[in-house]
Amino acid sequence: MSILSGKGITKTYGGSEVLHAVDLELEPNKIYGLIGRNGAGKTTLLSILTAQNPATAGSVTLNGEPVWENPEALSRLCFSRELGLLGGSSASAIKVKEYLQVAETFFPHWDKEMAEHLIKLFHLDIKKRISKLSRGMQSMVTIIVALASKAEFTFLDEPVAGLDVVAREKFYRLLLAEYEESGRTFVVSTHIIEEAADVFEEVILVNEGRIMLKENTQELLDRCYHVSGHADAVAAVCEGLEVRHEERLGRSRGATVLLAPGQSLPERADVTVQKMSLQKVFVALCGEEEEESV
Amino acid sequence: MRHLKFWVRWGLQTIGIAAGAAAVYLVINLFSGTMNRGEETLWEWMLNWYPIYLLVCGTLVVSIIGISFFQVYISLLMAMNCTRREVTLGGFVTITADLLVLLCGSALLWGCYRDSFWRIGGSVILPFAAGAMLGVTSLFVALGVAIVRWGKIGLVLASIGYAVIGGCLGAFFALSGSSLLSDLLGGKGAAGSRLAVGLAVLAGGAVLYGIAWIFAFFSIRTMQVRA
Repeated sequence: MSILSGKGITKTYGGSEVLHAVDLELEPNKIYGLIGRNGAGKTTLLSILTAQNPATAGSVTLNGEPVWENPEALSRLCFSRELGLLGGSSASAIKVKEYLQVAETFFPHWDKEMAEHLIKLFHLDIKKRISKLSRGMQSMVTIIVALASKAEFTFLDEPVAGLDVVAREKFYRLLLAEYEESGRTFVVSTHIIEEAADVFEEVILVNEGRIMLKENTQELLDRCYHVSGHADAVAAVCEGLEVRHEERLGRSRGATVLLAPGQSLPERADVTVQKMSLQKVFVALCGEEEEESV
Repeated sequence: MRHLKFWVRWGLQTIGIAAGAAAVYLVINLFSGTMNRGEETLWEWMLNWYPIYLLVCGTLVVSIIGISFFQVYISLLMAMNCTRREVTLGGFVTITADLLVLLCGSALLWGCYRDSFWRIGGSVILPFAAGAMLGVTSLFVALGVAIVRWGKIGLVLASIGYAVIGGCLGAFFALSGSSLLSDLLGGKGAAGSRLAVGLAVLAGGAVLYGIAWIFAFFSIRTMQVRA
């Protein structure tokens, strides 16, 4: 059972630090959801975990072996990047066929049959240059590379960006089918949280270059509540609990509460307590500390 | 072994493009009537000129593909989990091998036709051509490194630098360079001095080429992958 582990990962661009001593351990046979706001450091973290970019400080190991410049460790990883960001440079200049040909050469466990099946499934024109594809089509290319690579640890950066809802559903079904069949570990970075929430076994929340939490998705949702009602009543309920987000409207107040293990909300009739979706939890945890609703 | 397949395919593609470009250029010259064939048969004329075109077109094709290596393939290969060491070594060996194959191919073709080639070729033309090929390619490798390190600004600065170098070389040839070159390649002057010049050009080209790849190695080692 392989474990991919990052310790004290720090990354500095220019003078600014975008990752601050991040510690992260990825276990086998899991689908992780990597969520965070724009610029939180998700792509940077993924590129360092897969040794595509060097960390300013810290280390990444696979079963204790450093990943950096280690062909053996790298052969078990795949980071399928968001091609839409390439613009007019780099890989976007080449044809899809050529891109897949290079992937086939360099990923040792490449599943050609699966790649061909997915090309047909997505109706992808492989003779086109990547730069000439729509954003959705580019996402399909990243999905094909990720799934057909058969890498033990597979990282997908915004795989559903630009995909329509039907294609997104298709992708999640394919991901789950592959996961069930192979037991590979997937780390999926996405902004479309609501749809993907059911797929993620664990969620990793990155905020301002730090891992805010890494937790089983269901356990996280089980301890997050939204309490609303009269400001005094809400304040009484929330006393001694971890309040992560608040909104006020006149004398009414809403609060997002994160219960610690063993904690429970006191039962009161004058407040409304609701379970939260992963997206709402994300907004509560990563949003502004306090918002004054008008 | 799988990786080797990629590098061999890439190298052979480059040689194929170079050979094709030289052939197209030869055919254009043949039909445009700008070259006087004199007493030579078509076959002799082609054998005489194709190696020269192969050297010139080949050097340019290898150089341009060398830039695409820096602009496209380095990021792409690293995104496909290729180590930086392998990318640098693969690029260096493939590009150098391409130059060597083009040089040897040209020499063989030329030698088949011109008996005298082997007498003067060994001392002047081969080292001179090899040095020029390495020198020109090193400029393009340096351009690729500038793109990797400084992006578009690097491209602009390097282009300005090359425009200046091009201008200086143009002025040199306009003044006295072309006669010096034709004397050298035409077999005038003492054999020893011609050998010294040929070897000096080869050494200069090799040094430039080496420096360009050392810079490439250090730049690739720290570059950020965006693709």
